[in-house]
Amino acid sequence: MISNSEPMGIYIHIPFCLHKCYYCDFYSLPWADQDTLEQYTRSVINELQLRQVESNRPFASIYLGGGTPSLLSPGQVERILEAVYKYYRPYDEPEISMEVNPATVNLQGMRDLRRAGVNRLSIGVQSFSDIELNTLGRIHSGREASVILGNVHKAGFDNFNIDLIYGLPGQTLSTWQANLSQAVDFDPEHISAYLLQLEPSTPMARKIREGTLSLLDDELESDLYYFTLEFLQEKNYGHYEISNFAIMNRQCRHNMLYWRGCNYLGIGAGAVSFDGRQRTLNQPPLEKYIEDLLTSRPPARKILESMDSRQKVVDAIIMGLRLTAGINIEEFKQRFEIDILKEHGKTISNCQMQGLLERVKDSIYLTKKAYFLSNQVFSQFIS
Amino acid sequence: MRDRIRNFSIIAHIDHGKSTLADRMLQITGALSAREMREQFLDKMDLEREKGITIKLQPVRLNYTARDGNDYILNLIDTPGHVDFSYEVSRSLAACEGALLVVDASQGIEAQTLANVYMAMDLNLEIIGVVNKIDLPGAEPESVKQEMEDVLGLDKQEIIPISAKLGTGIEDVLEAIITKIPAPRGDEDAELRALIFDSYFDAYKGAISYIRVDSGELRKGDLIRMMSTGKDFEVIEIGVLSPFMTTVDSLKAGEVGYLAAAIKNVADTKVGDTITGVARPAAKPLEGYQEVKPVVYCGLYPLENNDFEKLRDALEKLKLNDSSLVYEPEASDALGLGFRCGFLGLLHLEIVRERLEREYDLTLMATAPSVIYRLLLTDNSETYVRNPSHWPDPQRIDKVMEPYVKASIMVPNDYVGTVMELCQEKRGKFVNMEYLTTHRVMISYILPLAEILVDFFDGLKSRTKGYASLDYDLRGYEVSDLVKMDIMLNGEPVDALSTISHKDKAYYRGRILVERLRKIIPRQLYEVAIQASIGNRIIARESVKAMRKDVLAKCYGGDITRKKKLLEKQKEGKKRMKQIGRIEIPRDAFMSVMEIDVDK
Repeated sequence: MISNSEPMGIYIHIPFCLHKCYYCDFYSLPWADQDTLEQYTRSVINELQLRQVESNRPFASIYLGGGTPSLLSPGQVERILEAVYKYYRPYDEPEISMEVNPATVNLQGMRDLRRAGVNRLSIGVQSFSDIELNTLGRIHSGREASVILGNVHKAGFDNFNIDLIYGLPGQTLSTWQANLSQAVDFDPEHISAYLLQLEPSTPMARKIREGTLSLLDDELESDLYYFTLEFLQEKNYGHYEISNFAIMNRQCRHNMLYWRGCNYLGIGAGAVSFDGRQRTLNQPPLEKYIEDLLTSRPPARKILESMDSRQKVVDAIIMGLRLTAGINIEEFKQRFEIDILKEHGKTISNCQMQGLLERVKDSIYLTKKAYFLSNQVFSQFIS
Repeated sequence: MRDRIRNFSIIAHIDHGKSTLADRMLQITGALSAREMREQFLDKMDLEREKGITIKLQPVRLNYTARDGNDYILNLIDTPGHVDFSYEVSRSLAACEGALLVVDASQGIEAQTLANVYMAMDLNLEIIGVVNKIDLPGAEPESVKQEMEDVLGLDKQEIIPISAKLGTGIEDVLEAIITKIPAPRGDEDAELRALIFDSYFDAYKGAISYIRVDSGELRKGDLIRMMSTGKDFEVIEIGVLSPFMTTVDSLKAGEVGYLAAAIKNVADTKVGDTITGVARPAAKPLEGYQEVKPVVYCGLYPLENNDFEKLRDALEKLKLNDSSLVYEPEASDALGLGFRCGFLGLLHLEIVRERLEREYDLTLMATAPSVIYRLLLTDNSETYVRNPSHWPDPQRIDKVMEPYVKASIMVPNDYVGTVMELCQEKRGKFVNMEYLTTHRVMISYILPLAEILVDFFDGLKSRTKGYASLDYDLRGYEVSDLVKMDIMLNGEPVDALSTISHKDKAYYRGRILVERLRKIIPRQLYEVAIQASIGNRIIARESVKAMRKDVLAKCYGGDITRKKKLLEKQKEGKKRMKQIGRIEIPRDAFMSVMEIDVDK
């Protein structure tokens, strides 16, 4: 049984953007005015208060994601973090991450965020090439991003991430390598490199359907991916999740909670929570959310799924296998009270035969070849 | 009584208006009210209505008051027009004394019509010539009448011009039926002899047989005997179709109707069998039908393996209604358990398959159709091969023989060249050419049946803008240079894809099949080699490269549910895959490779 004191993560969704990126289908709204941002901040604080009764678990991480959380002023961020500490109990020294769009901050702003309590920044660089940024619909230039990146450590952060996207139309191995090299030059502690994932409802997907843009073929995408692994490992970034790399001990603790199947509290319009049994969504629209919370009504929530113990285990397996360290059979037994070898032995050995899974002592993990084919493994576990 | 009965059928080529004429007769005789009327009334099957053809013969009784003031009973037995169903035609003709020959005023006589008219003449039926569609702009009734006189020896003065669509001339046809077609002969007081000319299975009443009483009288409650099996049954219900089932107390010599006798076992009502009375049995049965032999075979397999028994049951029931269907169980490595089924032709195959799927709620996979090959082996024995995967080792084969047909193609003389070209492509041997009229030609060729099966008819139609018509007769076996071509996936032969092919065509077919498979086989975890081979020789190869990407790059707390749904979809997709060895192929696509004619 997972102990009731196992720490959880707190995710706070800030659903505003200056401009919606062409590849993004997350819940976000075009730029909001200062009043709305203030109302939203108060709503989030109210939700934190209202929902403290749901769980008495300590939090190991806070993650401000979006949208563009850096549209909030450092003061608003500070008030939100204070509220978290007021209504919830920290576990150890929590990781407090915030996503930042390079177009929305400067050195002073980052200093203020650090002072407000944020201890990790995740900078949405995506690319250093202006042509590629243009294709993605990003509002900053490669040069702007570079300026910000050069200042992160100066602003007092000893932990930051750079988000990069590969598999962009027109990309080659050498243009991608150039992006990676530039990123590494700023000495980030963490790099997330994502394959461009085409969400059907996005403007980019439409362009591809219309034929004005075209994606790379699978071979090149795969080559880019495995090149990334080699390249970053050589620069001492450990490959710890399918798309994530970090120097020693700087893995993103918040995301680790997701991949280990832990609970999380999702605050804000469009945020998702998981209490160990159910995944629930704080329903948009924003106006309704604000209206409810400012009158101290809990947000309208929609149950995305309810899980029995077996489904929960399957979830934990497919999330856990995303980590290169894989699943520890003993630990899994203790946390979920099942012997994964007994319950899923056939699938595991089938994947082993296919050369997709490996087992050494107590651990089951994806083979290197399986990283980019991991759905072939996960779909076998789905019941 | 008996002299007021007329039993007749209608012979016509597809689209020459037989069903419309039948519709009009139903209306004029008042068998159907305007409300009940719908087009192609006698074509009960959805399939018939969709395809605009008649598959099953369908009796109907019409009451008609003639110009002589007397009331007559007209029994119309509708017949199919396609070459595959000439067997059904022969059965319905055997139950009649006369036939209407309907010819389209703009098309003229077609090859198949000719064959059916000759069949009717052999049975001594009175033929009434009818020229239909005289209202169409391209109609040339006079020249078509002339053609009917020249080719069939009908008196053109007596041929009736009609427009079934507009209803013109229908009464003339009805009058001609009465004045020209003889009343049925037969002694009402003799022992009962009734011919079963069709039957089908009804969930409530058991087997229903369509019968024509030849002599004696059949009453409700009678004990009857099936003369071929000697089994006795009590008559629960008899009736006529006018056109809906209407019960009657008795059916007398010359009359046509239906019979239900709580016959549960489908095999107990054999089409062509004679029914007699138990109390006063007849000494000899009526002349039945010659059993028709299937000429084309294919394997039918349920998509869901556990539907095998359901398929068996469905075939058994369908066989009652379609005695020309034969089947036997077989097993395929690739497809599981199924049946090798024999058919009269490709249309028959297609129709049986669709009926099984629609009427019995099955989803089927069919292997490529194959004729029956006759093989002389080196040990001097002989064997027939219906399933290409049973082809013996070439070392053991002395001679391969395949069935040939004599094809008669009727075509306007402008198209003679293109038709001959097509026949040459299909390995045909020219026999002769005959001018039926100044511009209509009958071309005869000896052709391998297998070539006729593979899209010959479509080719003929498209090359002659639809003007050519085809009829063929089996001519027996001839030695031929045939080989078995196998398809291998990663070196393993896929039995369901083996085909027999003429040596000269095997390479082309091999290349096409391999290319098609390359397109439908999704990338697997490893490379898939697709090869076509004759014996040990590889004649074509392709490969499907190994899968390189199947990944969700991002997966965090907010979208786990959605990402899982994608994975679930993927898993669902796998269920729709057919596992061939270690290779997974989408079932639909695999079916299409098996079934599509390579030569198209």
